[in-house]
Amino acid sequence: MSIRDDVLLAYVDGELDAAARADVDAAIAADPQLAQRVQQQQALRQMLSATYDPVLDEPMPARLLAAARAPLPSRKVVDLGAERANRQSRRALRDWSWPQWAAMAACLVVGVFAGRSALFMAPADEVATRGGQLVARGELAQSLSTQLASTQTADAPVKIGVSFVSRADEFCRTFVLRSGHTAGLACRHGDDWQLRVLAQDATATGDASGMRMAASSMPPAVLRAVDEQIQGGALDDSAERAALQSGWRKR
Amino acid sequence: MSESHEALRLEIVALLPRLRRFARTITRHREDADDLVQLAVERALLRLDQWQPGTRLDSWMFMIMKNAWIDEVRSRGRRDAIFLPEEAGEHVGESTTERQHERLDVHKAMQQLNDDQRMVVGLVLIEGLPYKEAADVLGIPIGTLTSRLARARDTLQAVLSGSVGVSS
Repeated sequence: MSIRDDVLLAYVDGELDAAARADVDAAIAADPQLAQRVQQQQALRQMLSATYDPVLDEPMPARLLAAARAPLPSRKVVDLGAERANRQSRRALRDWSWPQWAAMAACLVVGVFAGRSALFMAPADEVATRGGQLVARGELAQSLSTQLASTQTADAPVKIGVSFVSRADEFCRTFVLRSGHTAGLACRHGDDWQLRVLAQDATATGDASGMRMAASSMPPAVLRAVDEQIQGGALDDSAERAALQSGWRKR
Repeated sequence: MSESHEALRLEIVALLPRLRRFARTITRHREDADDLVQLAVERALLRLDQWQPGTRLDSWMFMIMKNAWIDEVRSRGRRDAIFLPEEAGEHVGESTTERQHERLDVHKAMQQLNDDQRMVVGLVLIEGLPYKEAADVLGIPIGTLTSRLARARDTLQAVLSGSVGVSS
């Protein structure tokens, strides 16, 4: 079967539905030349990412943060009632719903005092700032403190991934939030779980319910942070339990 | 100032790294890229009311950037500046110079594209927007988008054909 060029490119770009994709898969399996063309296109995409993705990890220029944080121009109060109604209808539409979060594509978030980009994207209930650090709150904090990876249920609101001791000698844990679209790394500092990395799953756009990150498949940004910070290996079940019982305090 | 505006602003802050990446794909100079991001952020904050809830905020920001680029930044751009010489030394710990060369090659190849093609490449191949979304950002039909993208790919492949991974 011959595959049109535009279909092949749409295949590489993830634009085909399942049936069309299966057709191309079958054609590729039967035609090494076709397979090679696909590979070339994938290699091109990879090279582009390898070239431009490092921009994401560059320190954020202060002038851009300042521009984004500048006071909003004061808005004329025209009709408070209309404004309220407007706001309510808007809230009904958005209200920080999970699909709304999912609609935003990948973004690496690292606390400013970690010395990297200061970015912030997380549901307000789960995250707060304290002393310039992002810290877990609410259900997220609760789960980080009390949940064992070995005994957590499949429908838990927060999935705990690995737990380990960091080079700074703190307990750290990776997690995935209920939506499956936000994952991160939290480390115990004093009585807080400081969020060292939050990452959004870019692939989750559009189909909010379809794709989910398993706790085992962390986004690269989180894995990288784990690699950078881990001391020794991950805690096993009994070490994780002991850490929990110690209140996540290192002595 | 409404809460939803503050929430939107927070989302824009979170988008900054991606806005910078997109800017870097369409400009030649990193200062131009940051100028473009700054201008777009300032414009977006002035027009938060115009963002349609339920649509993608990243796409909206990209659209503002596209317009700002065409209207303003491009014309006062540092056109003579060759692309990003500082790029080479900045990724500390990078062990292979091979990868740096590859990046430089990709930058060079991108300069062979025209503005329209670079924007398509940036939106679809680097930012990962679906065709429909990218077409809306650029205000063009999907057919135009895909043919532009195909031509851009041909050029990039041709320029890069000597480089690792894309050789035929």
